This record gives sequence, structure tokens and C-alpha cells, in this order.
Amino acid sequence: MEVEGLRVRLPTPRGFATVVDGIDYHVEPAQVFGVAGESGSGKTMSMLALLGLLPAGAVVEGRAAFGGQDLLRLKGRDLRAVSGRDIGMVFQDPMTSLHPMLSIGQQLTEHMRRHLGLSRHAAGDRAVELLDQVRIPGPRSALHAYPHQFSGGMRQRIAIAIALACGPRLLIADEPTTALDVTVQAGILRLLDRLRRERDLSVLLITHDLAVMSSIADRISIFYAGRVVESGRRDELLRHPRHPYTRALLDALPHPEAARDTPLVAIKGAPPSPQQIPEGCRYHPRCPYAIEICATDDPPLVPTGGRRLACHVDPFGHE
Amino acid sequence: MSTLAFRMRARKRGGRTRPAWRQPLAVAGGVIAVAWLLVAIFAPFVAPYDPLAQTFAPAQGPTSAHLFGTDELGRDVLSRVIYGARVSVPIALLLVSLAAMIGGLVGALAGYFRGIVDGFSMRVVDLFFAFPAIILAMVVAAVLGRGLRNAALAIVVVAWPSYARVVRGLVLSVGDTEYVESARLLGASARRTLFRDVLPNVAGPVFVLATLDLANAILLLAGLSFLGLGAQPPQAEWGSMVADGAQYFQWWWIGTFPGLAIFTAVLAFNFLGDSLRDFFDPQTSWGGDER
Amino acid sequence: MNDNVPLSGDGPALELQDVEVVYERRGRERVRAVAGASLTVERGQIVGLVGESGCGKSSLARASVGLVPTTAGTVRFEGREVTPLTRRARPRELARLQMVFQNPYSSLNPRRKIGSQLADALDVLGLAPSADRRGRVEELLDLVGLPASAAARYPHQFSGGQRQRIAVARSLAADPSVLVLDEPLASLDASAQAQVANLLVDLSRRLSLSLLLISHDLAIVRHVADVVSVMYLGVMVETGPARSLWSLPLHPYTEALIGAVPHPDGSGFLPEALPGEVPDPAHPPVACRFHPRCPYAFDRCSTEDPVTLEIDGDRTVACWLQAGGGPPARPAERPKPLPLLHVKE
Repeated sequence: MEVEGLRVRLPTPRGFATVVDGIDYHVEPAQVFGVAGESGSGKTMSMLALLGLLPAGAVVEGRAAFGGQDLLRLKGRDLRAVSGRDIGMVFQDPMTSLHPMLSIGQQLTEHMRRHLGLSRHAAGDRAVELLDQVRIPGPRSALHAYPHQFSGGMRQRIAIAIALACGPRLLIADEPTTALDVTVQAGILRLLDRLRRERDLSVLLITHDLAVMSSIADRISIFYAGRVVESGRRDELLRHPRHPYTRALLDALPHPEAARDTPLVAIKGAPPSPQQIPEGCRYHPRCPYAIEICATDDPPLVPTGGRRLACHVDPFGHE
Repeated sequence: MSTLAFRMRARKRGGRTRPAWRQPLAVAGGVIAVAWLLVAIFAPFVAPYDPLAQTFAPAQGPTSAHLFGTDELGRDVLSRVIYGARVSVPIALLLVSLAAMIGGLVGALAGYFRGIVDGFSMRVVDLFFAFPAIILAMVVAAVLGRGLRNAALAIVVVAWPSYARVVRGLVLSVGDTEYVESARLLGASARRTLFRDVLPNVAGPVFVLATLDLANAILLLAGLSFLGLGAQPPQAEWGSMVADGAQYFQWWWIGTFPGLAIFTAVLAFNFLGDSLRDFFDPQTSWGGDER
Repeated sequence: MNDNVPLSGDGPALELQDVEVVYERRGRERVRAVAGASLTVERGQIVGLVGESGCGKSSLARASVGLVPTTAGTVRFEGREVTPLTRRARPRELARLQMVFQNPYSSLNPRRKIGSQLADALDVLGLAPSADRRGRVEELLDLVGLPASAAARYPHQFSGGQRQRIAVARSLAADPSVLVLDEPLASLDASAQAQVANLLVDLSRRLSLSLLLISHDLAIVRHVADVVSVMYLGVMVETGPARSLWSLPLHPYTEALIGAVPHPDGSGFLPEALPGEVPDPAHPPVACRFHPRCPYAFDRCSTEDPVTLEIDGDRTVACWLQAGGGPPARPAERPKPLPLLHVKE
């Protein structure tokens, strides 16, 4: 998928607020692409824009090329045909992302029968296969069970199975493990990694958790206040972050090697609300490396040394 | 509240958010409700004629002298509608206040003491809820005898259980919140938290319920009077006037105007109650400066 | 009641011994959320309690301050027994044992200004006559790094991190010697977590405040806590100094927990998962509660409940693998008595 110039504006009492302001990225086949950012960075909104799930009155600009079509230009039935069949979605809260009143089998087969035209029998078999792939024990009897009979981790696996039901090429996962315990999270991450390899699946992984990102993402984009501030390969970006925000995010995490009683490094201030985007570089009010130009000129995202960076100063460029 | 959630709420309001008291429906509701209240208070000054005087030509349609026409006995309908407000609106207010106090007390005690007190009072409440409101009101009114006072009593009997339920539920849920637990940990007794933290948070929803209940009370009173159990002739009361109008269908003004009065008053209180619900939610009433 | 009774000797600030907490489920069987857990917080110490969902750590936290009654075992605060709350006011002697809750959105009354809530705390405690109250409120806000102007605002006008700090300020009004915090960082983003974590450590050192910090986030607990206790399905499986526990876990569950934490170092390290699921606390496994999922389990694990063993002076562990004595060693390095219960393919 190739996203170009994505811009999302939402209606507010005081006019429109731009929550996503010119985002570009592309997701290669069989690649895990990570979108990282804090809440309010626009990472969820940009994903909702792709799927046509924004609230009424939202204005979307840009292009999202997927399978030869522009997702942003599709409406209604056409969009649902693509998003239902070729894109799978997994959301954060496993407790609410499954329909409580329908059996697992019904939820799995519903999509398959609709988009792939399978018979009930064939869909059932395929459903059992999917449940097995996501390692649900006793898949055949699980078909008749209901969501409340499963734990959070299992429900997330089922949600992934449902997302994969029609054989999509792209799986979008929004904070898929945030609500889960760490051992359960590890299981889901391993599952996603395996599925990616076995099925040649691309994954768009959205999360604020850089450690999770580091486990399975191949490439990462860091979002801040509706823009991409840095993007590149996972190992390079996390080992040698160049944008001050990326570095600050990593510094805020506790380090295994840090001495006792050293305070954790918190980022001063808070991300700006969409109505109060600073002039110049969006991050400059919180940036310890900001210089004069940062307050007046918004740095463009430019390729440099194998990654893309939006910073005038590039304080760590030498590393 | 996350930005996304705030947008969703904005959408429910037709895409634009404003402080609750500036919503057009709420304003309209408030204005009409207050208008009826003023009419009720100042009826003698507002009504052009004596509502009981049967001195005019009977069954005349609306004219400039009689804007709402006259009824079958020659009484001015407009004056009767105005005086009817005196019966419906203030009485409804009184009844609802009474029901709220009784029900609220029962509910608060049930929620505070829990255990047997709770069990017993809620079974009593269930008993009352087992009967449809109008049937119960009719039975009580019929047993007590005709007349406005007995109809009023019947309405209180029918209305109090809702408050008991609501207040009990709120006392229980608010009592379990973490800010109440914090207060308890600091050393506040249960009674202290009841009055300082729980009841203030209960007041809002009760107020909203009461405002909406006002509409019901007006309707119920009119209904009882319509059936002959409430206000007795020759008293001017909207419900009995509608009953009259149903008899004399060809003279449409006799029943239609009191009916419209009921309609507008009930609608006004419903809008008002709806907007009060938002007013009491601290996140929407000053939600302008959300992050 | 003499409020000024000095602290009894130099015993621990908070001590839980063999505590049991039971919940009745409507119409169903009783659940032992905590099934005999012991924990000690020394003066000025920061103790971290970690475990995953269903381990009972929240129930333990609530029992430790008296919000929930215990069905067995004792809870002692500075030597005095902690009695559960009744409708009456909590005993004065327990005022210095306070709690901060997880959700900063529900732990403050949304309809009252911050200043009013803090002043109320002082009022309840009978500290600071009304004339001094405002000054004391400002002091409390300052202690948590918030400006005095915050007192005039409502909770919803603050961010999650700030609200959590306000909640801490409220508990500080009681001049506590022990603060129990139930997942205080869970609903916060990384930057706010760092700020609040720093604040807690700072307060602990400055005010000689003992902290019992309950969290599922191992990385933060390891950074902040002096001692860490690990809980699984209602029992303590291991306790020890934070550093040594992390570098040399003694219990297989601790080892699994550490192995499951992802690293943000760009290395692509895939964390290890634990097979199986956490069992229903109402029907825990026989004997060692962890044995169905333990890669090293052997026959004794399914027949005898492990005893809590003391290792190396300051560590305890409840595992039969460690019963052989000798220097502390990881489960993987311990000789495995055969036959193993689970054979890896």
C-alpha cells in the first residue's frame, strides 16, 4: 500500500482541526510496517481514513494506492468490498471487538460467505483451519462457542483469525496487544510474526509501544502531531534515533543497564492539540536542540542516510 | 476524554457542539416551560374572562373576542386553558417534588444500609412497578374518591418508585467509586461521604428525572381528569376539557386547544430535562476547552 | 486512643502474612483471589508487586489497606492490625496508610474542584485549621510538581499524568508513612509514566515514604523498586532485590515473565510466550499452581504444594527445583529430577 499526502481534517465547534497533515509511507508486501506515536499523533486517524471509518463531516485529502485502486476515492459498497476482503483489521480491545451474541463460527464464516461466496460447509472447514492457525485449542468445538467463554488473549487470536478469513494481503492492527498481559502479548507477537512469514502478509502495526514495535516491525514511522518526523528501518531507527522526539521517546523507557536511582527521562510538555499546532517545527517547543529556524520553518521529511528525517538540526546525525 | 470520543459526541448533536444551555431545543423548551409557569402564576391577570362564567354565546368558533372560542356552556375556552395551567403546572411540580423526596429517601437508605433494608425496600418498589402507571393511578384515585386532591395523591403513589430505584442505584455505584474509597481511607465515615460526595453526584440525575417526570405528571393528571377521576366540573383543567371536547367533536376548538396546551407543556419539559442531563455532565457543559 | 504512640520498635512499615482474600461470586462458588500470600515493606523501602491478570495483586493491595476484609492471615501497619473498613470512620492510627488507585479518571470526584477535594482531605483528617488550609493545599500541589493555580480547576481539565499526581497529593495530605499504589502508571503514556515514576521515587527518598507499588510493567518496577515480589494465581512465587531478581530469576514463572518482555533496542528480539492460559482462580491446579505451564515441572510439583524457601539471605522462592540448596541458580541450571511432567517436542 502506498499512502501519499494524506491529510485529515475533522469538524470542531471552532472550524476544522487538521489531525493528520501530509503523511506519506508505503508498506511492502510481506512486511511489517510500524506506525508509532503517542495518543493524539494522528496514527489512529490516518488508519481510519484508509478504511472510511472517520466520523461524519471529516475531510480527507491525498492518495492511498492499494491493489491498483485509491482507497480514499472509494465509497460505500466498493470500499467495503476491498476493505472487507483484502484488508483485515484487528483492534485494541479484545473484550469489545467481537460480537457478544454471535458464535465464533458465525463471526468467522460471515465474511467468508459474503466476500468469497463459500458454502456453509466450506466456510466452516476454512474457519476451523484458521482457528488452528492462530492456535486455538479444539477448533471445531470452538466454532460453537461464544466470545465470553474465552480469555482476552484468545479473543485477540480469534479477532486475528476473523481478520484473515478472506485471505487479505494487508492486516491493520491498532494497538493489538496493549490491553494484554506481557506473556499473552508475547504469544500474539509471535503469532503475527509467523503469519506474516507463512502467508506473505503485510502488516500495518500501530502502537505507542516501541518495545513491541522493535519485536516485529521491519520499518517504522514515528508520528508526531499529525506528521511523520522520522522513518526508517527498525534496527537503524531504534539503535540510532536521529530525530529528537524519537530519541526522547526511547529515553523515557527504563533501561536495563541504567544505574539505580537515576530518574527516568520524561519529555517536557505535552503533544499539541490539533487546534494549537506550533509555528515552524511542531516539536520545537519541547525540543532541547531547537535553534532559531525551528521556530519559523517547518522541516520537510527528507531522505538521508537510508532513512527519512524531518529536522533542521539532526543533532545525532554523526552517530 | 480522547479527541476521538469528543468528536463522536459532537456528531450526536448534529455536528456542532455548544454549551448545553445554548442548544436551540433546550432554549425553546425552557422558554415555553417558564411561559406556562408564568401563565399559571399570573392567570387572573392574563385571562380575559372568568373561566367559570357561562355568559357568552355557546359553541362559538375562534373569534377576535374569544381567541379560542367558547365551549358548549358558553365559557371562554382561552380563559379556561389559562386557568387550567394553574392546575396542571404547579400541581405537577409539587407532586414531582414530593415523589422525588419520598423515593429519594427510600433509595438513599437502601443504598446506604444495604442488606435487609435494601432488600425489603426494593421488593416494595418492585410491587409498585408491577402495575402500569395509569392503572395504578386509576385504582388509587377511584378508591380514594373523585377529586383533584385524590388524583394528586394517586400520582405521587405512582411516581415515587422510580426515584427510589434511581437514587439507590446511584448511591451504590457512586459509593463504590474510587474517590469515595479515597475519602474513606482518609478517615471519612460512610455518612460523611454520603453527604459530601455521593448525594451531590446523585442530585444531577435526580433533577433530570424530575424534570422529565413533570411531563409525565401533567399527562397523568390530564388523563385522570379525562376519565373523570381528577378535577371535577366545573373546574377548568386541561384533561377534563379534552374529555369535553371529545364529546363535542364538531366544535373542534373545545378539545383541541387544551390538547395543544398539554402537548406544548409536556414537550417543553422533555426538552428541558434532556438539556439538563448535559448541563449536569461537567464534561459537556464546559466542554469548549477540551484538549 | 493515643495517636502519638511511637512506631513499635523498628519493625516493618507494612507486613502481610499468609493473607487470604475470598470473593463470593453471585450464585457460584467462592474464589480465593489471594491464597496465602506474605509480603513485607520495610521503612523507606519501595517494594514492587508484579503479576499478570488474575494473580490477585489488586485484591492484595486492597486488603492491605483495609478496603477489603481478609479471611485468613494478618495485615500489620507499623505493628498495628489493619482492620477492614466498616461504616464508621477508619481508625485514626491507620490514617498514615494510604492508597493511590489505578484509574486517574475515576479516582477524583469529577464535580468538585481539585482544591476543594484536597482541602476536604485535610478537613477529614482534622489537620490544618481552615485558615491554613489553602497554604497546605498549595504545599501539597507543589510536592507533586503542580502549580497552585491547579486548585481552582476541575479534574477533566488535566491530563492523565497530572490527575495521577493530584491523587498522590491527596494521599500525601495524610502525611503517610506507607503508600500503596495499585497500577498507578497503567493508564498513562510513556512520558507521563516517567514523570510519575520519578515523582514517586523522589517522594519516597525525600519523605522516607515506604511504597508498595503494584504493576504489571516489569521494566518500570525493576527500575524503581528496591525489592520485587512476583505473584501468580493468588500466591507469591518469588521475592528478592530488584536487580538480582532480574539478572538471576529463581522461579520458572519469573523467568518466563522476564523473557516475555519485549526490548526496544531494534534487535528484533521476539519475546518468549508461556504456553497455556492462566487457570480460573476458582479452580486452581493442585499442588504447585504453576506446574501445568512450567517447562521444568516434575512429579513432586503436582503432588506437593511448594514451601517458601529462603535463598541467600534476602530472597525467597516457592519452587521445588530450588529445594536442593547450594548457591542460587536459575531454574534452567538446576538439576532436573526426572521424570519431567511436560516433554518439549
